[in-house]
Amino acid sequence: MSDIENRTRDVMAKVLQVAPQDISPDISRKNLPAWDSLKHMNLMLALEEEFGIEFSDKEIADLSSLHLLVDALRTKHS
Amino acid sequence: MQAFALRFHHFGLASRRPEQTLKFLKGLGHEVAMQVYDPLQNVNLWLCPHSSMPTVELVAPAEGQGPLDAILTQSSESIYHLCYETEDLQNSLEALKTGGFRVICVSPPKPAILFDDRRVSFYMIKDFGIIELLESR
Repeated sequence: MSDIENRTRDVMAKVLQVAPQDISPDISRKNLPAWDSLKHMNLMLALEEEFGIEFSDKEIADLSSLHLLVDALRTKHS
Repeated sequence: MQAFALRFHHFGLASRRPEQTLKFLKGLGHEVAMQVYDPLQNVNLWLCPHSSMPTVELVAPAEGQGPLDAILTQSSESIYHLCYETEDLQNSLEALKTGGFRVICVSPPKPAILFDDRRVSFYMIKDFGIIELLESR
């Protein structure tokens, strides 16, 4: 698992208030009820702070799974 | 003159049991100036001004999904937004960003039946919370 994915999972666990082991590779807003609209906003803000980046409004709307988040963060970090 | 050109308008109070919440507000001396169902948000709304205290907007979920689903998960009631009036929405948003605040649009401008179809929009301000911006005509 990459450093970016590890850090993303740590932030998700904290913001979504779920155990790190419950964050499966295919986790998304569709299959995790705790990942609601309000927590999504807080998650995006927390990831922005963790990685020192800023998401666009479209990214905030579209990045709805761990997989998509990690891909976007890799692109922004490269 | 404050930097963002915003004027306080009301507190937004979400409740799953609006009858009891209204009873409390009336006990405090608030009146119900208007009550409507807002189909764009799928919520029931009561605007409750007071002669000497800030106005409260009581917001209760209607049938089906709505914007309060995420707000009322931990508690049956919550003061979840502060509303400010703006003469110029874009100017206020730019001023917030220029002031160094991270602003995320939660809900873009749409007409609000409770405010005579004046447009309202919602934003998450990092380190502050959710604000509603009510546009002047």
